[in-house]
Amino acid sequence: MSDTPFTPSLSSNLRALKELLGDSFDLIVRELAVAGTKAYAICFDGMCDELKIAEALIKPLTDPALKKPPDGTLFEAVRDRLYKGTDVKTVYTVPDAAQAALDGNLVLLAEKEPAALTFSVQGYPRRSVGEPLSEQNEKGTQEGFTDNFKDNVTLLRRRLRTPLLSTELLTAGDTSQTPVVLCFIRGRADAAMLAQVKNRLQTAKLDAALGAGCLRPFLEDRRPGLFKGTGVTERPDTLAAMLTEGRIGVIVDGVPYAVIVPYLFSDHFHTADDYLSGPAYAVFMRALRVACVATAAALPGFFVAVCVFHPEIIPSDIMFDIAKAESKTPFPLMAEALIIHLIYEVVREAGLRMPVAVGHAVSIVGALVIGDTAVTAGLIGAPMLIVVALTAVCSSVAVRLHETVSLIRFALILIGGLTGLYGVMLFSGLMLTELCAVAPFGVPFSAPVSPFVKAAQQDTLLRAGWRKLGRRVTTVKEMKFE
Amino acid sequence: MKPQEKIGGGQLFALLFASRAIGLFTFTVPQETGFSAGDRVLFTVPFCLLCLLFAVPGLLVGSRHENGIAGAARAASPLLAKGVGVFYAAAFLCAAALGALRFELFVGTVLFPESSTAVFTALLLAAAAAASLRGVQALGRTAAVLLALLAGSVLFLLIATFDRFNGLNLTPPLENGAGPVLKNAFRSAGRTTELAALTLAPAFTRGRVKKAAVGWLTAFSAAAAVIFCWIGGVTGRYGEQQMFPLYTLTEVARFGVFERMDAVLTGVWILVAFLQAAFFLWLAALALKQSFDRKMPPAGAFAGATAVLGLFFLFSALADRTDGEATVYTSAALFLLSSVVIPLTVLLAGKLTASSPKPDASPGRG
Repeated sequence: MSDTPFTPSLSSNLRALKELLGDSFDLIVRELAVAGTKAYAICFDGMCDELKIAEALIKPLTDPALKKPPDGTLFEAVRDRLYKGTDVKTVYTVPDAAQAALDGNLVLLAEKEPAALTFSVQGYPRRSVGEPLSEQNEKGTQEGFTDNFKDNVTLLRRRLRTPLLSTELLTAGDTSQTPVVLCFIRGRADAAMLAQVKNRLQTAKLDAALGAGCLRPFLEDRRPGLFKGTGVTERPDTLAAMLTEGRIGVIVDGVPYAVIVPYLFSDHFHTADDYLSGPAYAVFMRALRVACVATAAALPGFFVAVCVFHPEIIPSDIMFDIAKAESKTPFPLMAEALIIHLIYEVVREAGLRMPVAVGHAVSIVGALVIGDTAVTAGLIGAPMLIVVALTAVCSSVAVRLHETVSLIRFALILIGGLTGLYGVMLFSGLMLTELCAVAPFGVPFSAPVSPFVKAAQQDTLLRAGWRKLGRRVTTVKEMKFE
Repeated sequence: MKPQEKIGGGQLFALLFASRAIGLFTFTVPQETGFSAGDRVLFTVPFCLLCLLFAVPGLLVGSRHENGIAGAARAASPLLAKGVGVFYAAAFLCAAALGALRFELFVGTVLFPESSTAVFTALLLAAAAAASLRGVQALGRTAAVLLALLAGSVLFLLIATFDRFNGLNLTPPLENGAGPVLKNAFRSAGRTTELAALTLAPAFTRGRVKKAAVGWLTAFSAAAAVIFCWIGGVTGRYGEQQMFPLYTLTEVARFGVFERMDAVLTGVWILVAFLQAAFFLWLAALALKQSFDRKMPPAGAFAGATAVLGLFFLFSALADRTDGEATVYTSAALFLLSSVVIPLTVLLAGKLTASSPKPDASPGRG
């Protein structure tokens, strides 16, 4: 069945197509008479725009004044003269026609035509363009990606009106046949990298690609690790900016996110607002974000290690206060830190999954009961609660690093409680090596800091003014060392 | 087999500098040698010259063969190549053990006097083995970040002790003649096992090895001179009597309400010790891989770390019996063999092989 071609027999073509599409209740097969020739229009209910079908297709095709064209030339006439829409294709195999119907196209079969015409009349329900919920900003666009890949490509093209912007349509998932669009700017994206990305997507052994998260592992290193060389964005302006730097975007149908490859560590500290604020403020904010991520990952572990093994570091007045508060609690400091962080993660998870209406209640319970009451009851010390609160706030600054930062935080609490600063530093060294070892598609994840790329420094931690920044774009190709 | 991954000259510089930097922190000399604070500053000059001199054989081998000493030895004789590979692997494992031993002395003396330092050494080696598996590019990039961190921490240390610096504290050099200066220069050069890495460097370096090596030795010596000068200026005679002068400097550092910065600054040096161990483990694996044309399995790194731990216990016992002298001689012997004797032998063997007529040479047309 894989490449079954259409034959001039309409009935056998229809039978083959129905056999492949199955006996679904939403499969619509309508018989037509096009200029006296028997034909069938096939589509899925709810996937097509009925008004568009009626106006652009059925009405002109079933016009009684239509003269019968010579045998075997009906499709030519329909394609070139009768159809009032824009996107029409001829397919010659049954599976291609079936796939077109599944994609929301209308398929037309006709007597004595060994082919089928597919009309792009999609009209399924879709979410309208809204705000990017996970990447809010103050001064930039309020448009975020939607769940429809075509809308997303349009949002991107509106921002990059250059003929060099290329979009290639692929499919992923043996069963889901999810449309996946590869976006890049010709001449800026590295050809070898592009070929590799395409190859990995095409050879991805996946049954159903139901989100960007399903495809990301295929674009990352095989070696399991905490740091990933791919990123996601909900913002078309972010994707557009990344593409101008020679990166490759992967838009997956069904999710409001685009995957970006390669995604570097420094990218986690950049936001759209950085480019719309003054350079000095942008640099300040970036430095603050780096400090916040370091605090979110290391503060609890460092606090436990210092309090348990190296109290001499802390100024004596503060140390006495900490000791006084901790002396009233029943748990050792390490256990206390682990318990509170676990509770924090539970509250966070509950807040994410709960309906919005109940979410506030969870926050109140978390803040009052677990926070204030636990301290008053003497179950946890106030200094530890301050550390947890600070950690929680800091970890919200770079949301995309939350998974990595959370795991490192727990490991550091354990290590700090057992081995002190010695273990904390050793583990930090190991994590640093781990970070430096990631090189998505030959571009070091730690670039352009290490290896140091001078040209890229104007937009790494620093952010040069637009007069300088606009003069030259540093592409990731320039950071590819291997 | 996958081609050997390579790093740039800058990353080689960072790796060598960061790896050697642990020597600064654990720098200690017997107090009875009369090695004054002024001598410490002056000694960096002969130390640098000696290291540059000892680097010549390794750099020569590298300039003759793109694969470094392994390639040069293979060109002379495959058997020699195997022997050289095994020797260098063993030498780097020993160097890692000696480095761990010096660090253990520091950790056991000042950081955790009541704890079992063997556990800390085992942790260090396990982490280093895991890091060495990530390859030289990861280590090179890590070294560059660490170097920046190290420079930052030293700068911070200088700022935190700025108000205590007094030029009058600097004792004049050569108070006890040139003997202690030269002796300690030889002693410290004999611990610079990183020089042996230069013999293998062409195999994993894309950039200019010579430039990186000369830059490293010069910059390291200059940095050491500044640090020793500062230690002398801040701690004076008191610092001369301390076992670890740089640690003493961190102990007296003050920054606002923070009165004890030593643990934080020691943290940076823990990272450096970790990097050195990882680099040596990786070099040992490379030496074996080059000689036997076989990639080491991941378990090999941990087997190497276990061997280093075994050597660590052996050297520890030897040091206890001989008051530390055995490790000094072992270190010096390893250094001389790996940096000078073997490279020169391989060069000589190469010359002899090239000049001797080949047995399977065709009789010629005439």
